[in-house]
Amino acid sequence: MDKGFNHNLDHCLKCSICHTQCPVISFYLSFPGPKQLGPELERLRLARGEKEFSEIDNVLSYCMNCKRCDIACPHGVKPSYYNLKNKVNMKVGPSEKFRNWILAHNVWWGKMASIIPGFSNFALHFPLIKFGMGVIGIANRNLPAYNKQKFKLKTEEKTKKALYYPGCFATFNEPAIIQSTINILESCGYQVKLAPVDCCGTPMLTNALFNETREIAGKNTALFLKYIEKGYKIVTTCSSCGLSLKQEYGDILLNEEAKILASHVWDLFELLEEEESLPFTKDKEKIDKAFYHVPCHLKAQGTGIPAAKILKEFSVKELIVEDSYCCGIAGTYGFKKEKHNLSLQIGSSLFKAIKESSPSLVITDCGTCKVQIFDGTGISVKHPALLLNEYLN
Amino acid sequence: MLYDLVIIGAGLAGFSSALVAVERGKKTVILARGLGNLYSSSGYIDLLGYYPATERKPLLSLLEGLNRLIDEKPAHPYSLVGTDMIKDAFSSFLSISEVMGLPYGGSTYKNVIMPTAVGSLVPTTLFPKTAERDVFEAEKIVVAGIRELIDFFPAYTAGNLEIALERKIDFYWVNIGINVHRELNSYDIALALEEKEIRDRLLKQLKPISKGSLLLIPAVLGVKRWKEVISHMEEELECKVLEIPTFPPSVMGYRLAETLLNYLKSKGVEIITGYSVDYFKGDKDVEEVAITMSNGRLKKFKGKSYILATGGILGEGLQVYPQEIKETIFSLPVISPEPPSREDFFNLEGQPFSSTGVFVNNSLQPLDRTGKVIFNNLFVSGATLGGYDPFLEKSGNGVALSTGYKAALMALKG
Repeated sequence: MDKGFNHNLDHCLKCSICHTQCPVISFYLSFPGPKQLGPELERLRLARGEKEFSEIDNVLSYCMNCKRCDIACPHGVKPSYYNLKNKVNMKVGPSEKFRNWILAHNVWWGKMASIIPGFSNFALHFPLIKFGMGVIGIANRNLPAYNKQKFKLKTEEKTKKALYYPGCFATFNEPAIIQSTINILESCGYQVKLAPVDCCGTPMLTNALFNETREIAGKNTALFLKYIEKGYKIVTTCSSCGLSLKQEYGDILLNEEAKILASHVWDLFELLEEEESLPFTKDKEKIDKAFYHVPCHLKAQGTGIPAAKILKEFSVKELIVEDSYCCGIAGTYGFKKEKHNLSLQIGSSLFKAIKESSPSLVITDCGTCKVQIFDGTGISVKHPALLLNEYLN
Repeated sequence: MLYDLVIIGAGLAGFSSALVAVERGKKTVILARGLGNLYSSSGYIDLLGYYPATERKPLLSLLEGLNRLIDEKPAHPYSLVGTDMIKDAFSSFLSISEVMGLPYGGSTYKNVIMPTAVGSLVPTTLFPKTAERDVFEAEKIVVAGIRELIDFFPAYTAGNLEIALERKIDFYWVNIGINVHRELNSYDIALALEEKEIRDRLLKQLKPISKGSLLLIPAVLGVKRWKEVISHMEEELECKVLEIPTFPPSVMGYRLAETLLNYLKSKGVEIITGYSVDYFKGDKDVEEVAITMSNGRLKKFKGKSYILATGGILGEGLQVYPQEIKETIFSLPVISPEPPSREDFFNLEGQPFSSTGVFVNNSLQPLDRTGKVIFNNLFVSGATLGGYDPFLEKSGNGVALSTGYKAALMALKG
């Protein structure tokens, strides 16, 4: 990593505001938190030479990369950046390494499993497989079911062009999100293409596979840029994929290409917010009450919550918008055996808030947030695009 | 989308404006580079602690001092707001604090005296009701320190308090049995004490010494469940408990900041933190401002009016360069006294750069060097303002609260 790139390291005043925003500390007091692990230790690491191993770096595996510290800092320091970067220094045993590697490559398992989803879903409930997963350190919890679907895309040329990058969850687990997004974008007059791009790399990055992520980021960036040159906007519906393209690629690649890509990436609802008129009907009956959980990685994008306004206008009478809570799953984090309980504890405040407002539906943009919220509340959870698809004119 | 009010800054000044706006049902957005320094504050709201500031005697009859200040310093933010509106701002905060679930006490008529972590006595005006405890009236005072907590030393606190109060004060160390191989700050201990099991360890050690006393303890009695923690302690120990604000992360500041933030969100205020406003368009009026989002693209916000509450030098609303101090967003003229600093850092006259800031008229609109309004729909509040020394006067949160209040009234008038 470029030494000159320090994300305002010396702007840290040690005010510890980030420390108070870390969802992990609340339930795991041993975790030193973003201030200490980030800017404070980074100074030491730089002084000692970056390759030097410090015992304390092992605890970095408990950082969820929710980025709540980054957006809390009043001085522009980004602690999560140091945590991601320094995860490579963790000393991890072979079985944990293997387990992390398996989880980091969910794109491969997704590809295989979604060939015959029925069989895969059956197999995943098979006791022997569950046992095997337990042995390698994967938590005994519901895994999202695999699904397959053929997509309908219009082919006519339009001046408004969108390259839709759905990401792994929508592709392998909930393809209905993809068709809904295509429908919405086409109704807004976009010519839509599906991005021929696999995993964004976030699961690898959070599992300390830094070099592999850099390789993937470079490859993906080059692919996206070809479409950007042809006038396509890159559209995402997964908050974490969106954030990786918008921010993390730049941090990892440190080049001009990543910057160009970043500035052409739009969350679906960010794009809709720019439309003069929206293709949704006001004649259909609205849902009485829904709870919108804003994923940490959407909050961290700095876009505000554009979906909330659209949902309120067309499809939900009373929408409770909450961006105060982390659901605790953090991608692959909550699927790790040793972190499963912690992950549910972190989510407990959110579950409580949801149950107290007793909505008929929870809405959230993130696939794994969905898994976690359903596990924690038993209330059904939907992506906002899925819901709005039902309100298309 | 057109907002009624775009507030830049998430400190007490910005929140104070937002409280006025939501009360009037106005569509409001708060844009801030991060969460404000309010999180690091004591949670007390000082109107005016010392006046004249060089007289290091706490100001007790507050209104008398305030009126004298307004007579003598026409450019002071309090002179621009006026006594009546300052009183309104404070009483309005007091009633909202009840609704928000963090009730505050005190009044603009008199200051109260509170002990600090170093054992000095300081004046303040508003305080959380849990701190409604009088060190002068107490029959017996005990200071307790927690071994696991960094930066609080009860012997030091008690020793200095003995001098200040001219009476005997006992101190005790207690151990709450947390061993996590890292430094624990007040926020961490406050989290831990929300657990009954850990709290019971504290109670067991304090029980023999605290009955009938006023127990001074660092402010670590619960992050969110402070009400439950404090009342449990007072009942069990049969004593009164007074929390002393600590170094950052200050739990009392955290409670106030989070309560305000969550209340405003629940009232529909949009709050975007993490990205600073670094673009604006407009000549005589501000037409729009924008933040640079995570991906480097601008996100624009249009408002009927704008409030600048980005803080002073510490909050980085004012940026210090080798030769000058600049306001960071609108490049508003900043007036700083000459020379900007004195060699003796703790000079009783204060450091002149403390009163550096943007100068405004009675409506809190920024002025250029000839005294002309620069933007008609921009109003400035809090530490971005010049003409006062919050450290010397102990008036920081008071100026933030009252100028934030007035800025919103002016901004929403049109």
